[in-house]
Amino acid sequence: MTATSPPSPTSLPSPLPRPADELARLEAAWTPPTGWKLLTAVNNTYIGIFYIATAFVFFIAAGILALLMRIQLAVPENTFLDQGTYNQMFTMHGTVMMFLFAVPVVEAIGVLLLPNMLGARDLPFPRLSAYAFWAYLIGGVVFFGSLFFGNAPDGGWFMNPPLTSYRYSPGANADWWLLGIGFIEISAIAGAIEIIVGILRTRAPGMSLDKLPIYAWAMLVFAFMIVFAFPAVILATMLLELERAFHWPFFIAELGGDALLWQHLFWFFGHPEVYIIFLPAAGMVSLIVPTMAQTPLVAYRLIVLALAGTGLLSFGLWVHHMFATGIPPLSLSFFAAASMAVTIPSGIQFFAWIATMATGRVQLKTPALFVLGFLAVFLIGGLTGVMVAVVPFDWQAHDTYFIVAHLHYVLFGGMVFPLFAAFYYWTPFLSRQQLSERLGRWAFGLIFVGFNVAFFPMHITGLAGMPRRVYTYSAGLGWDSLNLVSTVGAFLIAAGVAVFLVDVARNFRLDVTNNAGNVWRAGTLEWLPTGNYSVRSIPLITSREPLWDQPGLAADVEAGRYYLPGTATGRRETLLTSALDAKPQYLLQLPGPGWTPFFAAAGTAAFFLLLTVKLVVPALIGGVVAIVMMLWWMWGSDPGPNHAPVDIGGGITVPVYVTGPASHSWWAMVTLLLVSGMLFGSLVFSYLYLWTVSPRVWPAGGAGIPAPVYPLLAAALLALSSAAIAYASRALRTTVGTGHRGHTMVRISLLAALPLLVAALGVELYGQWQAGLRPTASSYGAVVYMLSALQGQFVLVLLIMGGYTLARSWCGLLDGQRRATFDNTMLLWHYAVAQGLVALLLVHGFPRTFG
Amino acid sequence: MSAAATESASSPAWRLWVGPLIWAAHFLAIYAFTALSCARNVATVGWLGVGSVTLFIVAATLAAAAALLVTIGLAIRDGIRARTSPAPTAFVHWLTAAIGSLVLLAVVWETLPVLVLPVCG
Amino acid sequence: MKPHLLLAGVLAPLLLIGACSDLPLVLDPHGSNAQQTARIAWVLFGGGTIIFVLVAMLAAFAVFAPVAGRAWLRHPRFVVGAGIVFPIVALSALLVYTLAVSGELARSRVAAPLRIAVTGEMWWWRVRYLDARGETVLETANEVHIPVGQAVELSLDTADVLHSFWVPSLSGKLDMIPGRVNVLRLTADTPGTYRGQCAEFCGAQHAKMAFHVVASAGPDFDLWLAAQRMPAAAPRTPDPEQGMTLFIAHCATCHTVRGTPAVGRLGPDLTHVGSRLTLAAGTLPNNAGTFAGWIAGSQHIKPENRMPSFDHFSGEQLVALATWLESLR
Repeated sequence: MTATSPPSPTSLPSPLPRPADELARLEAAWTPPTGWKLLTAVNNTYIGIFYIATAFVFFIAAGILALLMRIQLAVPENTFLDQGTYNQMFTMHGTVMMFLFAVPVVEAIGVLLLPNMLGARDLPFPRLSAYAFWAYLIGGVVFFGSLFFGNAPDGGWFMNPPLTSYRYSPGANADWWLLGIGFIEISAIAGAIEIIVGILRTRAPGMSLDKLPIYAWAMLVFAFMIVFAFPAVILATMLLELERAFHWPFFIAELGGDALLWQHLFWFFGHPEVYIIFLPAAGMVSLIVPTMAQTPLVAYRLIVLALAGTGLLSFGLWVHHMFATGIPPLSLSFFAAASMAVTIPSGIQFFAWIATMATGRVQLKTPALFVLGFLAVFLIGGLTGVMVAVVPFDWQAHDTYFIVAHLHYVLFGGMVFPLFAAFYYWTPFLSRQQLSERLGRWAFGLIFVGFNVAFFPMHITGLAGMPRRVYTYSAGLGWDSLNLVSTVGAFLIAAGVAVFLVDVARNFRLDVTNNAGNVWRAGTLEWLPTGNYSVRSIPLITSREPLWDQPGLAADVEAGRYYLPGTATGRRETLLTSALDAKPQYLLQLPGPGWTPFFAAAGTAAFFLLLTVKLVVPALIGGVVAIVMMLWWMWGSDPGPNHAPVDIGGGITVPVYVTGPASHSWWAMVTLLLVSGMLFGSLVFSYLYLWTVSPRVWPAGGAGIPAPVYPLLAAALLALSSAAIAYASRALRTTVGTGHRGHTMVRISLLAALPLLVAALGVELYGQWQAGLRPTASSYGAVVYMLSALQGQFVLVLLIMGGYTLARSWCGLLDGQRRATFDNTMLLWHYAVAQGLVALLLVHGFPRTFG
Repeated sequence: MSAAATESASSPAWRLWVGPLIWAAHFLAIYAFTALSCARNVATVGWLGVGSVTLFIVAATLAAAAALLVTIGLAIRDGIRARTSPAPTAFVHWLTAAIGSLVLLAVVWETLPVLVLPVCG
Repeated sequence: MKPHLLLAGVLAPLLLIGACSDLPLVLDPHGSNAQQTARIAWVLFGGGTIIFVLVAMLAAFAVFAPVAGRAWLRHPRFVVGAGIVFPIVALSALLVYTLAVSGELARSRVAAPLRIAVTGEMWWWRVRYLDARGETVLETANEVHIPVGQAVELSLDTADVLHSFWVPSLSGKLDMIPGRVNVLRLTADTPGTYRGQCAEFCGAQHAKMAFHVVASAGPDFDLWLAAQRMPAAAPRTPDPEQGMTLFIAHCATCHTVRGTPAVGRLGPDLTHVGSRLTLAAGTLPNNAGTFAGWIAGSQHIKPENRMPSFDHFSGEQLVALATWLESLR
């Protein structure tokens, strides 16, 4: 691999004149599908737009639910909605807002803007984003539809058992949440992997980490937070669904379970979740403020610290949602202290924005208005956040309308206001025309006033004694006029949103290639002239605000004077660069439009949604369709070194294919392993937690535990399986050139490794069954079998991946140079073996040592 | 070893994770120890009149603080040395030191309660 | 135009609050726990308001003040001072102060408190008075009477799902969690009737699961307790007597009235239901009319509650039942 340092800026990488057909070939490679074939689009611009539009529709839908709820609460003892309908509506309002609007919309904006902002042509895994979007759309629509069948979940958006377990929620309502939202979480994780690899590895040359646009820093922290937080709720979802469907008693106290286990798992996810929603918005504000003030962001380094610090510390706050559960005061105080610590990074950002505004001269256009609104509202939310971080105060405020006020101030203030600012700010990037300043001011005024009228009184309503999640209330408690005022405010917000929609209908004309241009005179790269291929040539960056500091950049990029001004292989491509310094490393060949992501998503949605209504066979068919589609799409990837190294300009030649720790697919796999590790870690936590609270159902000093021969045998089988894969890896290296024997050894090793993995699981299950343990008997049984169930999921995936790798080997598509497929399988294999070994140690070693 | 692998091994970027990991380990340790001690009613056992939980937490904090101070100090030193290197290296060292300082504050604040509150209420 | 709009948007709701005459319950404490919390609350609100006003002024200054005057705001040193140093100082002080209050609340212990067990049910409150050994001496429902000035220890648990016991005038809330008993210690400072409501979503009728805590002077409390411990007095006129007969025939499966053969435990103990402030956990006022209405149509008043509507009774039978139940004081 030859990566040399970029040439001096005085001589641009690609000389003029460019070859006559270069631009035409580039455009041809990036031709978008039209008509109904839009379902096959994978370009981040298209997927980003679909995603944002869908998320906004969910925002409106969940907002309408809120209006209906506010009508019901406008007067005491109202009969507009009955308790069943209201309880479904408040649950859906929260669930749809959090899972189908908030996280998707901020992720979608990243999908749309990041490649352009980083100087890349697309995200590194376009079909993965397409898959994630379609899964989210289909799943989200069906999930929302459950309302129209009276079957929507009604246990609150945090779904606390035992209310949501099989005894008190026997209907399918809770299953819709568990299975429906469960797989939408997969969408979020897919997006996160893409964003991490995209931000770290596909930047324009010269865009070293200290020059990364601040929004990209925010999205990087956001994506890592998803990786570490989402697995906890995925596990909780699995546990509750198993309890509901098969009566494995994780949360049933009589059998050694604990309702608080759910709360720990849920809130370990739930608290970072709200910062996952806030940080991208803060990132957007950090781009909008400097542009509106026409001056660089003050204290960039401190803001990066703030973003990373917020993301990190947010993982230490989760018990502040559980202050009223009777946990000992000392334990609670760790979380109170951490909750105060996390406000410091937020404060840093605030004052950096104020300093930036003071340095420049803020043009009070609509984006700036929404930013000022955000500052005011989020500040109040942050201050009430400090209040509820104080344990004794929270004991009064928890689960009341004070919290409803707080959460809306931080979420609506912290994300929705920046979102509207972003719509007004980035519309010129997407549309031929800007949105209207006049309508924008009206929208802002109505939303800002409406928001405060709706939610400020709720602080008082809560202090006056009104709990959350009540479908009605008695007259004469002092809550009547407060509720009426809140309802009026809600409709004002709706009016403001309606004005915005009118503005969009009248002025938004989607056209990225002929967009309105850099009307705000911003400094970041997404404002370069754009085609479907993103930028005509990939620029060399020397500043954080390249459009301000590098004169003539736009014209030079458009003329093709920078790197990769065309398509080297005739396909879609982007440049892979090093993580720290953004030095060019290799060319990534990207896929064009295709049907497989759409059908894979449809199959995945069918699997989860049909299981919810207990149509098992159709669900399995859907699952098979999904897997077949995914394998089909994978078959076209991993092209190997199918082209000579390419001259990207500036005297730099890069390969078109790379394997090993430098490759983007390795990085994606490692990120997936972090997710898997967190999933497993959450289960280990569950085991240790249940042991802490229910020692009575744990085997005492070794009684009832399978004989040591079982885990020893299972461990040996696992180790052998890993050894076989390691051997296959070595054998693969020898197949470069002619090594026929090498190929045979690879296939034999894979064929051997597969049954070893399955047998290890079988031995463990058999041992537990022989010892008389049953998953329904107690929480101990449930968690032991769950460890095997989780291992089983990995074994199943590895059976598919192993089989697929074998198929590629047999078809001559796998050798020592062309081995990305094998490497991904190998990484997951070793992880699964390690996971299996740790699980065996826990299950067989822990009770013998600490029982 | 490939050029990229060499780069990542010598790059300071992995050290960004050290401070966060120390904070996470400290937090997990004090919370788990407190929870277990209260759940199993062994919190009263002590030494020199100070309860076991208090002793453990103070010890954990001293260890974490020491580790963090080392991390911060090394990052500051390397950041000064990196003044002549390309910009991102110095930036990463600065960020390492800054994150380390932030979590050090968090560690100290998280320890204050043990000086004021009864352990198991 | 814009700064005025912003200010109006924020201040209008504040003025609205000024229009409200009574302080909300949390800020009008009548118990020692609530008292300490209210003090913290005022500190937090005061501090929060001051900080909000200061930061808002800084932001307004940054946007609107003449360029020359804002020079001091531009430097990263300002960000460090305002964004790091000030919050560390302020939050450290707040942390130490609030930890001290938490410590006080956690340490408050009295030798021989009055012991009451409250069990959350869907959607009412089972209340049992305990003796020193923890044995039940009296069971009632939806109302907790306590003596003023004496420490009370409430053992909270649940018969089904999560609930939360919250009486804002006296104390912060504490959840009721299956498999656990959470203990809430509180003391009422002044006599009065204090309303509480379930504060953890518990299903269909979570909204209508209220209760009252009645704090009375020591001797009054003793009188009340003694009266409650007596079994139901025998009816002296034919109407209530017919009511009692009907009750034993139709209601004894679920309800207890001590002094009669009715010993059901699925629903609330009704031995002295006539003396309670409300019916159906704060849903209805207590009189003969509402009794009759509840018996005949509870599913219309509190849909999905565990008691079916007894709509097969004739009007005369309902009157008899209601008269008898009213008499159980």
